[in-house]
Amino acid sequence: MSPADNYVFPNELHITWTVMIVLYPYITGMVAGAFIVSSFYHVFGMEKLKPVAKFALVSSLAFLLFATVPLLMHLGRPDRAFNIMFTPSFTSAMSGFGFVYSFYLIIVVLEVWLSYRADLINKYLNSRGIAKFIYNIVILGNTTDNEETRNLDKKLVCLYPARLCRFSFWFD
Amino acid sequence: MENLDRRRFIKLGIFTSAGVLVGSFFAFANTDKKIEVESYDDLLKYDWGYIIDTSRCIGCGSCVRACKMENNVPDNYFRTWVERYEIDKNEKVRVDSPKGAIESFKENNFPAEDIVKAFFVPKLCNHCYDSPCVQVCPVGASYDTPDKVVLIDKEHCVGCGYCVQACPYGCRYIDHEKGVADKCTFCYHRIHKGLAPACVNACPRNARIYGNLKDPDSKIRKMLHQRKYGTLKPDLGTNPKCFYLELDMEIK
Repeated sequence: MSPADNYVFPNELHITWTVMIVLYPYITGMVAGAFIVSSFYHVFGMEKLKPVAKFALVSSLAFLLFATVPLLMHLGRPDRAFNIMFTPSFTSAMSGFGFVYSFYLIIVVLEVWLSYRADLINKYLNSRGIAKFIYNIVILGNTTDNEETRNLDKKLVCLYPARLCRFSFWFD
Repeated sequence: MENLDRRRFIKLGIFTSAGVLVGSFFAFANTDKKIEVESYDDLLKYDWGYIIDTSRCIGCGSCVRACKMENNVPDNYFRTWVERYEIDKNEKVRVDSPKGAIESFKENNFPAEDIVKAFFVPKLCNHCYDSPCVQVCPVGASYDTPDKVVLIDKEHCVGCGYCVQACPYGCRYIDHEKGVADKCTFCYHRIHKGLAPACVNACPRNARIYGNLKDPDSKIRKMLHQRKYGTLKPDLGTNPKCFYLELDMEIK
């Protein structure tokens, strides 16, 4: 006998996961792509990509900060979204990915901070008033900028993405 | 004297009939053992199971209506529904469940003379021992109770719909009014008072049986010993707790 096809369970006539769910991997795809482009320069030393390396890094962060917005829109109760962090269920792939995502976010923020540190110190020294105060917070009050610290920053910038490239491929 | 006898006779008659009437209230009252749950250990005495006898179901849809009323199920979503299977001369299988059979089945898929075999299959949440919905819930809002019923914490659910995607039996839905997932609870609020779930109560043919799988004297255990049964999609390893008597190979 032929199997009973063309039958859908009554509850499944309504599709639960729609456009918002599709939008999310689209944005994270851009995040991972931009991050890999910046890593080509920072880690693998492709001089050809130097002009876009920093820009790619910042755009990666920008997309990363808002990639979860479509998911938030999708939730039935967006006000409870942080339950994923507060009461995680480790058997759930979605919860696990929340942690991967947070880790990625921390690394990208650190990456941006390290690669712009010298510029930020320069801005701090040349600004006044409230702007100076804000720059002071951003650079964490540390104005040491010499050949040694620049080399250390470069080393760290190199180290993080090497770890993170693996995560980038998870994103794709 | 004669008058007095008659009066006594009538009196006796009235008291006797009143006694029979009052006595019958007790005799036919629900004598099911009241379930007393006072501590966690009391819950461990239970393992709620469910039997669906597909050979007895007549597809009237009473269970669907009862469930909808008992649990305020939103329109077009179902905690329980009834499917109709029809197999024609060419051994073509058709399955349908118009509006979850809440208004029963009014039209035939095939001309009556073409049908060689037909039956109804009520469906509901299987309350699996290894349920995929509990596994995938990112916030732990879906959980197994100590008496092995899968429930949803509606104060905690975020309504992501992951469990709806994960359930292979299509038993879950998102209640858009509350924004949370919802599904059959075996009428958890009723079974702990010793009452039958609404669908079991409503079934005119006793096609639905529920009971305690841990109690060796329960009706459900005895039926499982006497009859042949199967579960839905056993290949998925979910270990469902709804047992289908006379399970046809077409049922999915």
